[in-house]
Amino acid sequence: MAGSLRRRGGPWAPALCLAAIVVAGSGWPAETDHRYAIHAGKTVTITKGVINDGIVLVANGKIEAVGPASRVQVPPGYTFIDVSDRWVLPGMVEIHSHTGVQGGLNDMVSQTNPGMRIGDGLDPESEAVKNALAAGVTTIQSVPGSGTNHAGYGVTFKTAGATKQERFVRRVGVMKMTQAYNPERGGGDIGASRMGMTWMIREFLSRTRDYDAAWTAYERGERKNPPRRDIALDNARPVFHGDLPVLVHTYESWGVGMTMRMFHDEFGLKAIATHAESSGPKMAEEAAKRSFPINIGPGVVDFYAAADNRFYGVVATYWQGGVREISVNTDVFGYGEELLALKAAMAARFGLDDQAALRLVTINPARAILLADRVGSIEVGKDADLVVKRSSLLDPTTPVEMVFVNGKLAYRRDAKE
Amino acid sequence: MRDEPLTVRRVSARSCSLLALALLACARGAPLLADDHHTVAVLAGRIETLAGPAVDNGVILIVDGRIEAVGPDVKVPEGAEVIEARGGAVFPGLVSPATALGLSGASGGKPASTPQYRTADELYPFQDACKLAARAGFTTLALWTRRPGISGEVALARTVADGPKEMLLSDLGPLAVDFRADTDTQSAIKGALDGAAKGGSSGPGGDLLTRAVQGETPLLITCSGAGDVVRILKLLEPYDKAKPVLICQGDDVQRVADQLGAKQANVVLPARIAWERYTRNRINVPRLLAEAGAHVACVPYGDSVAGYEAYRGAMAELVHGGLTRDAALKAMTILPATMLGLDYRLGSLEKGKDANLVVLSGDLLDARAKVLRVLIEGKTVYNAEWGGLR
Amino acid sequence: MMARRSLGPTSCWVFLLPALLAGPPVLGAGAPEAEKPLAIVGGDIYTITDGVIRGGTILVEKGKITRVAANVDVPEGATVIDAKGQVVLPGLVAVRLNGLVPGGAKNVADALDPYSSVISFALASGVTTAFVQVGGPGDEPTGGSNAVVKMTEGDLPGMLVGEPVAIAVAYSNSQPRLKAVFRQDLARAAEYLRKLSQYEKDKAAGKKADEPKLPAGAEQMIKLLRRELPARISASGANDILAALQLVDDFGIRVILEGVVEGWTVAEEIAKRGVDVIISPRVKQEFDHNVAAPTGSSDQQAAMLKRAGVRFAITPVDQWFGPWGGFGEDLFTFPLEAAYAVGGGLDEQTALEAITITPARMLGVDDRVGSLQEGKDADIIILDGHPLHYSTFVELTLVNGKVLYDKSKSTYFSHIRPKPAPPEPPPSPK
Repeated sequence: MAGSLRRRGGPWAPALCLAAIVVAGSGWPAETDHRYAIHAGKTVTITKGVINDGIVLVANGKIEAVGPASRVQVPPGYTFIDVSDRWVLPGMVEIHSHTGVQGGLNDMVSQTNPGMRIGDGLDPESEAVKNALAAGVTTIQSVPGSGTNHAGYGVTFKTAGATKQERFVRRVGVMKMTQAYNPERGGGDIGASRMGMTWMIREFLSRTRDYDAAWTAYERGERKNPPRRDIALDNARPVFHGDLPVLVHTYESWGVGMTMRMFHDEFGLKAIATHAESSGPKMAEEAAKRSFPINIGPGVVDFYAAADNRFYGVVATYWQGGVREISVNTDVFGYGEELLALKAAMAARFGLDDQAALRLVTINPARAILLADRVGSIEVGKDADLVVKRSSLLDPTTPVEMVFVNGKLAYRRDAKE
Repeated sequence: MRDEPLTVRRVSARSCSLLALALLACARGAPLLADDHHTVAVLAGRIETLAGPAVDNGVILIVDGRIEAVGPDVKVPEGAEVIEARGGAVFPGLVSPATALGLSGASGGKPASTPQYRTADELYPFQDACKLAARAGFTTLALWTRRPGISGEVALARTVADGPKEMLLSDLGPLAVDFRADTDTQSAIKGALDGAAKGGSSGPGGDLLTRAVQGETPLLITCSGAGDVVRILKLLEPYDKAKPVLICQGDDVQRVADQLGAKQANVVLPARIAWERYTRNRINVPRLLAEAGAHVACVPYGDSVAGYEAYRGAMAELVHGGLTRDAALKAMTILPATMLGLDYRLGSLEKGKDANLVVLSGDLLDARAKVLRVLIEGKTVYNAEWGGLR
Repeated sequence: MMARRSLGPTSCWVFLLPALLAGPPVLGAGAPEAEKPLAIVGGDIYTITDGVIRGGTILVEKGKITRVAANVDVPEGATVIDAKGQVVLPGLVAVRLNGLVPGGAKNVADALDPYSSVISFALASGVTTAFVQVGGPGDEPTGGSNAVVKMTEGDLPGMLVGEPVAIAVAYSNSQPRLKAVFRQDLARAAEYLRKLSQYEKDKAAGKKADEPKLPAGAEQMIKLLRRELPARISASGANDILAALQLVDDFGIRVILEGVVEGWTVAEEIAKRGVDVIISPRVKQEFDHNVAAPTGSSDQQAAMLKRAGVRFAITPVDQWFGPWGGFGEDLFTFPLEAAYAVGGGLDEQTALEAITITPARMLGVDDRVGSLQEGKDADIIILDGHPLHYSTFVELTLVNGKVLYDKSKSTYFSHIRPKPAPPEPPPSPK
């Protein structure tokens, strides 16, 4: 057919491919030692206020200094980055998604699967991870699914890094458990009822506590013979030492209440109630009393639970009940991490002030997974995970322009055609 | 007030056959008539006639299945069957203007115009559902199976009879229409009614369509909510002689209360306190529509025996929620009767009307009161003393 | 004994003549109100077509906008709405709305429910006009029925604005049979039109001619060929876009491309043919390693289309009102999609046009809606902040000059950042 239209390649084609936007250090002044002095119009530290006209020093992958430009001395040899008309914020922290992992989220033969570790399937080349980076998400905790009461362990990683090793933050991330709904079995197995599911969880926790206690005693020399080894339960020992939290998928007030009673009250573990929607906010006061972290998403607005023809922000409702350890998630399976900022924006829309909304995707999730010593705010000593943008992370009218991960410039938005 | 010669004539006509029985029954103190349905006297503590103020300690005199007299001073003739209900109350038998209780037909299907389908042909005699409805106080039912479009001909029926033919109050019944907000249903309805209005329909069931459009028989229309109602009102505008009754099941009918009230429309609603959409606010739709000026009849919520048995309690709830007692009683009796075109013969306790009545141990709207007895045209079709159905 | 027929109560219907003559059903208190002139005073008016008027006034009479200007004399007796500190926009136009009528309906007009909750949600979100389609192509390349609908809650006749306004066509490389059938149908109809035109010429010239026979089912094709209606074609990838553009070259039909994702890769081609496009800036598509050409989605698509001269409407990722969970991706937050386009480099003015006047034009109703201009329908929304801000709520929605949504009176959002009550007026002097 004369004049039929065909796809054209072209010299400008590669530049527009998503992959090409991720900078591997090309076209940027020599940065062999990755030391930067970032002159920022507005630095939102999250934990120590906002600094107008400030300098952030980055070296050895960490924040070396942060303060007003007049007071921060820029040492020689630092690459100067002038973003004096932009904001600098911490990279966002996602603690509940399924991004960047290959090979399935649920192995559903048993109701509890303490041997499963999704970190074994981490794919560092994943396009979805690059997409997350470009959206300003720098730390992701990917977890197994909710098909069973104990689906295994998540993996915490940074969204950029030359090697898989460089990306890992924790090979064995949170312990993922599920309290309700999805694991309900129909075929007459145990676990068809909530009684069965609750028993599964309690039995596992009791058994693991005893296992850990026996091994701890042996390691301390309090007993002569080593206990029997169960490598699956080894994964859970840090949980019983308070070094690793449990991420518990739960809903409704009965579910959130049960999560708190079992994990916090009964077993003394650090746990996070994730999803926690529908009538969950009714447990706000109880959660606040225990400083029990709540992680909301992907639904952040509720219309049906209160049955009064009103739209409620789930985060705002927990907040009004006194909960401050609160974060949001996207629960996406790959593409979609850019929704994290949207969830925070919707939380702001439905009643939280903007400052508090920014915490939902930075310091609060970091604290929830016991990673606040490394990420979630711009403070000296923390990882240099930074986002440069013309305005707040919550504002969709400005794009993410630069992202630093572990002190290296990992993403730069190509603004040309 | 009874006509003396009538009774005398009756007795004399049967004297030969009855005399023997009369002698046998001497011990009872009153002569026993061979056929005890002919004259019945119900002595009631309270009679709600629905045709005037309630009568306390009155008598309903029934002759040949019709009410002969109702009042405080009605004389009970000799030989009459006497039903003692001085501790209880008597109400007109309940009328359900829209039900498929006990039918065997299959509902649904593709939208069509099938006025020739007669519910009378679907009556299934070997079921107890209608008898159980009688036990719940119902004497009259308007029966049909819903099919989208023109559903067919309604069977106006007694709840208890010796057989399916005997159930029918009449060979002819109203036209049933099932309205849906979709193209095919609406065009089937419009096509059928237009054809009838223009020159009469010649096809099967055409006579029924014509009678409905001319207002000679009611036009019973089942539908959903407010959106359907506004469409039906518009659709019916050309047929100004028709006698429509809107049977609404949707959860937002109250939004068109003022429109229905302005037209003093005949509306049938389920007997329940509904929920406002998306909320837990309870709303009393029959009350809202009645207050707006519509004529409201109520059917059981849940077209099943359980629904019928719960009906009186449900109506009591509506009254508790603000529906006037008067509106509630009318919604159960005379208004549905009127909507079905049967008010000339039932729905209230008046001279000349069928002796359809329910005797209770207490008030009709008292859920604790028990149904003691139900009469259809003077014949006892349910008696609590039977210990079951017959 | 034959039952005596009863005519029932003598007045089943009491026809109140005034009620009949008034037309649409009375909506309770307000009928006389609707006749009074209305003035919206003091807001920042985004006319869309004539810039922003800060602190301006809009006059509304009999459901139409009669005046939009900086200084206007408010007529006596007019109802005044104080919009000081607020933003005034035309009601938003959704280029597709799903969920208003059941999917299985045969046509939109017969299935509209003027009391649907979807209408309440739309009014609360500032969406006053929408394109609705039921059914669609299946075994045939064309199918379904569509209409443009206004959110005149409770007023059924007022809802239908245009029907149909497009012909839904399935034309994609993934369905080669339908493509071929469509081209055949168009070709056959085009041939008929050629013969018809020749026949008419011959007749006018007095020659003997046989009237050509209209091919079965050709009415739709003729509407397309005569450019009376556009073909609405879903084309996300570049190949499907190019195939649809080929239709324009071969048959001269009007085309609206929907769900366009790789439009940015062939922007000039689209612009050349004046084809309208519908995009959701946030839809993501992974690029294809196997193609030596640009592929995938780009959040800069809107800006790139604009630079190339392509006219586009913006629609959210989810073209419905979903009061469950997610939030931020559907029509409840319609302007947010346009905000993301701005994030991708689009200018604010074009972004706002893409949710108002541009969809109105594509739907053929821009003579009535889509901008705040004299003579147009008074479909107006008042916002409590910048239209593209993630926290902005609709305060008031007017359709045909009637206030159909008031945030402070509706239960939906009144508890969220309620407007402080105006101070008590001083007591009037005795």
